Amino acid sequence: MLTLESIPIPNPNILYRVIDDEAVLVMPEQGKVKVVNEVGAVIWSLLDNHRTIQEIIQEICSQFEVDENTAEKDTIKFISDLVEREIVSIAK
Amino acid sequence: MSEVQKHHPQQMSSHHDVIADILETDLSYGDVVQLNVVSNSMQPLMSIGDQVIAEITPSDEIEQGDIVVIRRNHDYLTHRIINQKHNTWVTKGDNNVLPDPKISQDKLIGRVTIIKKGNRSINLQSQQWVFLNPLLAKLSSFESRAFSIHPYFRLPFRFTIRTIQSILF
Repeated sequence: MLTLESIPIPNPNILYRVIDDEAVLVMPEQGKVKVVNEVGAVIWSLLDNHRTIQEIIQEICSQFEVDENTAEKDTIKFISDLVEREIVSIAK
Repeated sequence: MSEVQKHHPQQMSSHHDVIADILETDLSYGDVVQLNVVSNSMQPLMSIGDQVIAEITPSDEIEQGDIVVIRRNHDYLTHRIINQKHNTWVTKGDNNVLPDPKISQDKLIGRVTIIKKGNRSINLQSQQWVFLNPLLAKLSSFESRAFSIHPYFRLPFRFTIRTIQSILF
């Protein structure tokens, strides 16, 4: 269960490129690809093994014109999806 | 790679280019990559929906008959090497009549080692495939030459290739 204090950890086996307004995440051994939009690319770049979800949301609010509630809802949904796909894990 | 196919063609081309670039530059020798088969050009060995495991391999370890993943233009393809000369290869899909245009060896991404067909796996590094792959490459090459003389002349080669592969399945 994700909380605002959770720290998302990117899977070190993911290869990625940020291009234009999106990021392409490749999981070579699983043969899977995830393309994320501009906000997703920013969130991905913020995953540094230290930032909490709360800190990521604050960063998103400062970079995009979005209210905190919407940013929180969208960020948690996005990170949950990445966790489900094993692109990200949550620090215990 | 299935998910990329959900996007419209222009995006797909761009994403395939990025993926090919990642596979070409970010992986090291010995790393493996799994790819979904998206064409039937290598049937019956590989069909749409199968998966292949390719190992990143230096080009000087590749031999005639190996099935390789190579970068071609903005995409990548998985075909068999039927001929090699200097720094170029001629590849061909087992199910195609004609070979692909010659390609430089520096376009290599990796060598296919395993083909996954549902619950079954074909290990291309097993003794029988190591023996048969060069033979299949020769037959495939002869098939193309025979076809250029007359389309019917290819049929004995096609039949032999199909028979060998069917026996092994």
